[in-house]
Amino acid sequence: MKKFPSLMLAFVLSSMTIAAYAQESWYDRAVRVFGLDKEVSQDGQTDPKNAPDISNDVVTDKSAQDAPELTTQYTQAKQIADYQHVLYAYFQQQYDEVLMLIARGDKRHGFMQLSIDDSDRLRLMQGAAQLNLGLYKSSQTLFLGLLSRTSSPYVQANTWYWLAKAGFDNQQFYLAQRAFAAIEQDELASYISDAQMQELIYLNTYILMMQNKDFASMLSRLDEAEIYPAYVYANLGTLAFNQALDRAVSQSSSQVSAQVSAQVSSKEHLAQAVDFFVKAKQALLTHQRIQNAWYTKAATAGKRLIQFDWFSLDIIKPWTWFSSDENSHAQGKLAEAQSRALIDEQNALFDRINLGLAYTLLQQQDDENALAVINTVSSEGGEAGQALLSAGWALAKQNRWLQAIKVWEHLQSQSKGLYSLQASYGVAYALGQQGKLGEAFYALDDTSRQITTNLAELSAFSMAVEQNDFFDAYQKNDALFSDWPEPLLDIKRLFFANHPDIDTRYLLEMRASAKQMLNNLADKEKKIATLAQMLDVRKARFAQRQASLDLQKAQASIASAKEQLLQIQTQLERAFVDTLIDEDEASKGANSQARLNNGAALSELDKRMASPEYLAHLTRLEQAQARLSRLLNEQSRNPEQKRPIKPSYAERLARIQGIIYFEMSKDKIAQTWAHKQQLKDAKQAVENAQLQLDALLRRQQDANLFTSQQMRLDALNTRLMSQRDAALVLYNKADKALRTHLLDIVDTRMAQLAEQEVNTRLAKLRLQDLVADSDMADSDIPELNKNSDAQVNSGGLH
Amino acid sequence: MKIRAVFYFLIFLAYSECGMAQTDISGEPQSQNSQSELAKEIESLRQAMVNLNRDLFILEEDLLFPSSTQVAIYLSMDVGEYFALDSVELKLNGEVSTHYLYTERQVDALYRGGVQRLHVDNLGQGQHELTAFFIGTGPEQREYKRGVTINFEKDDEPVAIELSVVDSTSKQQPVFSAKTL
Repeated sequence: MKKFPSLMLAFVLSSMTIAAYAQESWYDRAVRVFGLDKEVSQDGQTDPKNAPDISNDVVTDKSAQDAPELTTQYTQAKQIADYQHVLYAYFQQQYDEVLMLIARGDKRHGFMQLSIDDSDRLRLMQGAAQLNLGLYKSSQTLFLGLLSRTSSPYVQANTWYWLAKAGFDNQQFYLAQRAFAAIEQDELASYISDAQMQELIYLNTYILMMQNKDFASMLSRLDEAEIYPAYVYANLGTLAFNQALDRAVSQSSSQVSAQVSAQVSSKEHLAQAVDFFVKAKQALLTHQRIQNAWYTKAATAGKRLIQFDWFSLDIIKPWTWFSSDENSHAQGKLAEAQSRALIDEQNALFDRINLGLAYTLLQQQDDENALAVINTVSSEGGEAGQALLSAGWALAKQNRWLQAIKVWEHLQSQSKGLYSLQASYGVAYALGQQGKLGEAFYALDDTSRQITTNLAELSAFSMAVEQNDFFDAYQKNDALFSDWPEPLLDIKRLFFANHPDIDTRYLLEMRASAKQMLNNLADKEKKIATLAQMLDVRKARFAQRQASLDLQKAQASIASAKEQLLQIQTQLERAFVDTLIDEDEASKGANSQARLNNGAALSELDKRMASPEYLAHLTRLEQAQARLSRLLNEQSRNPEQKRPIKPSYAERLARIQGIIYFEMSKDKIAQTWAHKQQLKDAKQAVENAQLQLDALLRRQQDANLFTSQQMRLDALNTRLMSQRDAALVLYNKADKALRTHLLDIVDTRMAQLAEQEVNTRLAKLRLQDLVADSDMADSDIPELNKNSDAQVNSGGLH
Repeated sequence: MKIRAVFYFLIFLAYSECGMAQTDISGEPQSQNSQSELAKEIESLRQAMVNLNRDLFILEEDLLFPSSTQVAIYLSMDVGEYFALDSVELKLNGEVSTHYLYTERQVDALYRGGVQRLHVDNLGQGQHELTAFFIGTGPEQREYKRGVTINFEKDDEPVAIELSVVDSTSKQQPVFSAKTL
């Protein structure tokens, strides 16, 4: 049975506050003061130094060897972003993703640059996620390690809280008690929510109760607005009732003197049980009254506030489902669903308390009150069948036969399966008591038919159980096996009932976990196949590119470019040196004149560096000089046709040349520098091209380019296969245990029914004999045929 | 006498299945000793699966989004007093890369300090432009849409960009920003 009626609610409340505090203080003494590590290490499970080795023989996992890949690319900002990404997943209760993201961060950067507080919160989330996924041992180890180093009281309080829950879930009650004591003694209660604290008080009350220790003070601390007190009292009532039954059993087998004391003790226990059941009802009623009052109050307050326009809507945020926007409507539906679940839980608890009280009263021979209590059990609840059956017997014990028959007949019409069968026996009994032997006979006949039907149903059910997917219908958080055949619901109860050798719920959860793991592994297998395919495509594409790229030609081009650049550089440097020498001379004009006088011509580089305007000037100058030369030549060839050429023409040309040279030389240094800069950029570009080419060449020649990724893929595949095998083994183990257990119950029931069928036939035969012996010769009881007798005799009646 | 015997027998039959002692209100935890080995194996396997999942995720990320081309965009939010987020649209270099619609639970996770990894993409080296449009409900319960643009340079290293929505009490408005991490 579920022990945490509001576990999820408490978790949600706890998670709501996880990011709300940021206070620090030292808290190293927790483990030392309580000796927790020493204590826990005695069982060798939760001592951080003796942390359980989670990698077993079956599963080969090298995670322990994984060291963070600390690279500079994971800056503090990125690590914080990764941490907050974990928060994002955690607050959506995606615990698998939380663990995966943390594991990824651990491997990549280890969250080394997070603040201490954030780091502690990260580990707290990790532990909580582990606990929610059933990794009890790992979470305990993590929590203990966290407690030994954290300085934040908030983290300490919440770590203790989760540790208490982990201890309780893992049957380590001592650990749960230690955790609670730590919260109490170190005044950490203010760092967890009231709901969390109430849950812890309930856990401790329960543990003390089971240990037969004084739990009164702890019980008094439970808030009456919570449902926990009702559970505690109901549990106490059940314990007292069972103790009374035990005493009653020992009474029949012990000595006379002991019998007296046992009888007294049994009565006391029954009285106690009644008292506890009544208290449980009162506690539940109080809880309901407070809850209803709160809802009414909230609704009234909300409506009242909405009536006044000047109130901000923010004021009614706690009850946003009274608002009209869509988001709050969705929230309202969520709250409504939660409310429905709570009401269902309360109703079920009410029925069980009432039934327990009724049984106790029946044991006390207080049939009248027992009947009154049974009448309060809901006819639509899970306890209705048993309640009606008991009610019938309570009436029968008071010799109210007609009423008893009505109750049983009603049960027959309403119920199927065992309770209906039991009711038919009751009807037969009541009719017999009234001397109606004929009707009793037909009632038994009806019983025989029901047994036959039941046997057929059981047989069909047995075949269904043999199917592989039968247990897939189990849903942990839903109605258990909602499609279980209605006539066999009592089999379901037996299946889930406490058993010393098998814990059905636990095994079902294990099976579901293993099944889920197998499904996940199948998904992962597909993903690995996809990745392998992707890698193959990449390899093929790379090979294609390799073939299409002519890297030798590219290398030749780069070499040619380099050579050209070198030439340009040499020329530039030479021009630069020339310019510097020119600048040293007395004057640029004299220099130009000297160059002209010496017949010096512009170098090719000078021309290349000249602007288009100066190039046009130079062209015209050259043309003029050519014309002058031609005219001078003509004069020397034919003196008759001698044309007069003024000497000033040559002088003017020389002057123009000088001016052009002067103007050109004036910007030469700046131009040279600019060209050198451009040359440098060009060289850089060529260098980059060379580097890229080198990288391409290296990749082209690297035979191991994809080997590393292929190896990682292969390793993952191997691990996946081994994990799949291990999961399959676990799945089969749990599945087999469950199936065997359920089939055992079905077989036992079938054997019992077969025996009952024989006994019923026997009873019918005897009824016939009785009628024959008596004066009831005119009875309408038919003769049973010989085949029936033969069946009875072969049925193993001994 | 015989009749009485028959009916006592019937009573026995009825009560034998009635099972008063089967009432289970206590919910007492069962001893799990017989299942402890199974639990240990399950836990070990689960832990191994977490590690497998991690390594697979990393390998997948390495293959799909190599660091030389990887760009990851994160989204963070302040308390959301002036802005209730409905959706975010991302444009990378002028093209819509994602349009994300938020559930109430996701927004709540953002309010509590969570950061969403909104988008991961591959981009070549060089200059790029990211534009994000935030759509939701702003002050005075009015429909609100704002955009923010960031230019960033992609080199050999992976790039992470954080988009954030922060309440500005001085402006009484939400402030949207983007920065590289």
